[in-house]
Amino acid sequence: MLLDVNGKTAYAHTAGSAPARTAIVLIHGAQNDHSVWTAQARALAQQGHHVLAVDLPGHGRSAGPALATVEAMAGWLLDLLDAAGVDRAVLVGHSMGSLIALEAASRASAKVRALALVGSTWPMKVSDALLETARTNEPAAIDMVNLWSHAAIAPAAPGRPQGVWLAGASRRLMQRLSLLNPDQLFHTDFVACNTYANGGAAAQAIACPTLFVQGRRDVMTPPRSAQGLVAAIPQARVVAFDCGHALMTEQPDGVSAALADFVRALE
Amino acid sequence: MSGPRYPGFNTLALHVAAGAPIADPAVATLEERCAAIEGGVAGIATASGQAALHLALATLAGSGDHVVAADNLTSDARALLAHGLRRFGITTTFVDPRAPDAWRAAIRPETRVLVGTAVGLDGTVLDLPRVAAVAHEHDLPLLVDATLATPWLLSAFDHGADLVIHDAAFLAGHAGATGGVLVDGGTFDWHAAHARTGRYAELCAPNPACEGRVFAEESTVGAFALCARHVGRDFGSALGAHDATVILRGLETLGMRMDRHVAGARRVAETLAGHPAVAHVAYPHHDLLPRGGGAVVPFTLQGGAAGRFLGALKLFGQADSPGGPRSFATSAGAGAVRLYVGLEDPDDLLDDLVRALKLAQKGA
Repeated sequence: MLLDVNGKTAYAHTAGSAPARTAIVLIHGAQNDHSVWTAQARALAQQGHHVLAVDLPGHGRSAGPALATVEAMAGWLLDLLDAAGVDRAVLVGHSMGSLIALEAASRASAKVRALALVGSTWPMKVSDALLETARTNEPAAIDMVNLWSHAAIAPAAPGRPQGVWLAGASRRLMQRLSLLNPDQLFHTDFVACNTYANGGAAAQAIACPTLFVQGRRDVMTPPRSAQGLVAAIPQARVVAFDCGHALMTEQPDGVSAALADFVRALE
Repeated sequence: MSGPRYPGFNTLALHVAAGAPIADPAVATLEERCAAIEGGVAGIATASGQAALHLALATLAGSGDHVVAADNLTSDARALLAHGLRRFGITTTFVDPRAPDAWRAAIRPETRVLVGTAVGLDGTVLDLPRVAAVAHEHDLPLLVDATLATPWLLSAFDHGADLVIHDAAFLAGHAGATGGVLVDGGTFDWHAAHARTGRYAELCAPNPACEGRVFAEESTVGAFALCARHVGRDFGSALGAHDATVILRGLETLGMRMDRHVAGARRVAETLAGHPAVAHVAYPHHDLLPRGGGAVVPFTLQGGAAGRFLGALKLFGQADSPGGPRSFATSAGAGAVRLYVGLEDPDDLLDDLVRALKLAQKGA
């Protein structure tokens, strides 16, 4: 679905779901697009939910430029909800997207029914070495992040969809985003994660049900590092899977079921 | 089974577990490994290399569409394009793969894909970057048969290929091994091509054959593989689990085998090039193949005495079948011979060749 957000084209994948005033909004992370959520979007759409898996500005099919701060992305996301006619949303964010969801939920408590933070932590510090690599050698940064984001480069058991090499597909997606937006997108996203300072205050302002979905072998946002954030949100619950940072593709069924259970319990 | 101990026992006892995967693990593992070793995003195992080619073409083209293909594809592939698919309304223009302008000139509005072979049986190495550039200028993907190059010798996706097919031979390490694989590199932007040209609606618009799914929305880089998986179900060219297991075992030694094939083939090619009975050797040397040109050594005899030469060989078997540990030789017409260099001691192979060349010379 194409939307007009503040005069610019924004894209959201609906997985065939019909528009509604309540929606589950899926927000991808750095140098990614909506397609990281395909398994979850399909599963939730098949259960009758209206799903919006967005492309952030400058990512995938949404017009650029990329926004430079988590706060600006959260503002854009709330504008997108208005543009889509959604007045009640469950926000589900991955990695950088989880910070966007957190910030948006803290600002618009009336609009946000619940919050799911997948592969999240705060502060979301990015090492100087990775920041510098992203700035000067984006292909190398893509390869580094893909290595770190998957529990195994060659998984012991086949994944889904059948035949897809997850680490390779993730790498190619990041490379595609570089081609679509050659303007240092990865560095821009990393700086946004690294400099987001409002996470602590935002967490304290969250009153809605909140689910953390963690990968036990996640070295990008290790579950241990998220303890402070989990403790700061009053109604937070945690589920964990045996995988790395790319939870939605490494454990597609598990993450889909966790989100479906979480949403069902809200009703 | 001795009767129900609880309701449904007889049925449930046949199941591995609730929600057991539909795909056989060996097939799915082979597909992922082939995608990984090629540096692509997804693989689809097929019953043969020919089935992989058919699957790629059936995914991208239909009645009224057109294909531009190299004229040095295997004879089976040329037959499929020239006759088999023509019956279903897909036409093909064959071009000299060494002439980028010929590829460009053959492209029409209804062209859907360019098909080449990375290393031909004639020793021609496809100029991948240049042919890919021609394809991409026209919003067309480049499909490459990399059977003879193997993923060990060539990184086809790094040089512009969008889709790669293999016959199982070298992957399995057995001449005549059953199977093939189609790998999606994830490099081609189907959505952008569709937006500019209207092509590839099966990938980029709601697909009525698949519950209206839009593959290019579901996967930014794997749309082709998702669609081809469904097309494969239509045509039923799946690979069996046993064959997948055989190929998987073989893959583990691909690198060692290819290095040995290349070492043998290089010595054979050098010896032939320096022999007075040989007119021409077409063993590939190319920047795209830094580890070597593969196991096939095509050459031409002085005076066209191929029959006598082939008859004199003792170590080389006579068959048109690459990929295995044993060396074979076959006639390629008009004094031309193709050697498939196996994994034997190269000194033994050279003895056999030199002896047979001498006999061929005597006869000539």
